[in-house]
Amino acid sequence: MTKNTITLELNQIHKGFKNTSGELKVLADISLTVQAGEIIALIGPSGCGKTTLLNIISGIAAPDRGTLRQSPSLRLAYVFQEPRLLPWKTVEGNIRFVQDNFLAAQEGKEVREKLLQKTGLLAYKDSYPAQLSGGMKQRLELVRALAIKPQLLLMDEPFKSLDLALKFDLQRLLLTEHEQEGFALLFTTHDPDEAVMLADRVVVLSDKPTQIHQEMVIGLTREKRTKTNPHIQENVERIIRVLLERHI
Amino acid sequence: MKTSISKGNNLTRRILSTTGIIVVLIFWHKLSQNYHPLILPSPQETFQALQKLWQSGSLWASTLITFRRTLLGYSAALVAGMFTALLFSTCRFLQDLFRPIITVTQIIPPVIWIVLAVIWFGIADDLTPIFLIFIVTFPVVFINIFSGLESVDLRLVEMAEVYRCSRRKIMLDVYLPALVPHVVSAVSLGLSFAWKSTIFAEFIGSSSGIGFVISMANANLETEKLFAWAIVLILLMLVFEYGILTPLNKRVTRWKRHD
Ligand SMILES: Nc1ncnc2c1ncn2[C@@H]1O[C@H](COP(=O)(O)OP(=O)(O)OP(=O)(O)O)[C@@H](O)[C@H]1O
Ligand SMILES: [Mg+2]
Repeated sequence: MTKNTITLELNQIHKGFKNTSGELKVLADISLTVQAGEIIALIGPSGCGKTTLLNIISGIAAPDRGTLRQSPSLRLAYVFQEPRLLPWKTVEGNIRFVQDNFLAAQEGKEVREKLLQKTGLLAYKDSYPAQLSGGMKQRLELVRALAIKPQLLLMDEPFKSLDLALKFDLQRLLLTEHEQEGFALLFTTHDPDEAVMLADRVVVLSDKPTQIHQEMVIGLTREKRTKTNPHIQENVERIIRVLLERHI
Repeated sequence: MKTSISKGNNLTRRILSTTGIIVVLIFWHKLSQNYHPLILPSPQETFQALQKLWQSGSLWASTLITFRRTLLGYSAALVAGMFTALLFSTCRFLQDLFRPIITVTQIIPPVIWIVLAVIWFGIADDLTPIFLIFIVTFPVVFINIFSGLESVDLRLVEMAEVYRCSRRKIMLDVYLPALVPHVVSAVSLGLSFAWKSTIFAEFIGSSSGIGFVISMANANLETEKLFAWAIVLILLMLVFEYGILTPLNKRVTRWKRHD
């Protein structure tokens, strides 16, 4: 699956925030390379800086130190931790708002309607965000991101608070799209099962000041992964052990 | 079921408010029988005065003059208020320098301004009322638009930047729609201020317009004319409020409703 072209390279990224009691060190020396087409899961304690890292990659925030290398023409999409939809645009309008920057009208329409169809949102394409449920907004965020045909997709806890069936549907959709389009995917999660079932590589982060605690390569092809597979179970248990270490 | 209940409520509300108006009219009628028309003209006398105003053409002539002044002064205030708000939101220095002055302008009561305007411009036909409208409504517009700009959700701007939207697109599709409800509320708030200021200014410092006609009626002890004008003004404001501003407001905030 992984071709040997690099989509993104993070080199010794540091990031802190000023607060009332001085400086809060968040990211301390994060280096990470994302290959084209690779799926990476970021897992780590709440507040360790996962969102901060995605914000740095997407250009919303700047690192204090370290370098970030990516092609200037890299087409990046970002599914935010909380939906960021324009309340005054319809479902379709929200997608077109970003899609028109990248795709021609005709292609855009085809891609958009296919994705809306697959996520069950087609009937709602003229609704406004205020008329959607929380889960529908999350789906719309995902559709909007996929609709630009990204090369790098960032997702911040994309499957949280979804019902089980919907979660599996969306994961399946994401994997099918990934298979077809071959984008690199970097997502954060708090769920070790999810990380191991979806990712090629799981990056476990420590608590603040945050470093990469451990990296695990999941060797199995995705078709072979089941919750009962011993290799999968072993990796899940390892992640859980690492995450709980500090709390013993 | 639900809709029929809310319809019923609406009907009840209409009946109640109509009843309220009828009660006031009856009360006014009864009360006026005990007083000289100089003090309290009856509804009939007021209606006759209204009819006379209409027939003489003075109703339209004066209303048009006042309307024109309000429109002029108020559009100037709107443009200036919006421009200043935009400027201040992009330049901290200007904001720190001039913000207190705007606050002071707003605190000074209109009476002071009108007296000053008469001293400065004399009983000028247009200048005095237009100046007063401008000076009274400018801070209202400015404050509304400025707070609107500050309330724009920056997370949406970040989203648009991540997806490579141009600055122009971000202005038009993120800032502007967030601002429109504030503009509309500035317009409706400012407009009732503007009307009152024009009439006030004309009453004291002009020789035409509704305010001036009212001051004449006052000087000639034609109380029924005062009442007639009061009714005209109430109707005009109602037409503005419910005929133009409320539907406009509903339209621009369509996306907020859940239906
Ligand atoms: N703009 C900011 N200003 C100050 N502190 C911030 C800012 N953004 C994040 N932080 C701090 O940085 C730390 C990391 O935050 P971040 O949102 O990246 O965590 P996270 O790993 O995404 O957590 P979660 O899993 O709960 O989403 C937190 O302690 C947070 O308080
Ligand atoms: Mg987060």
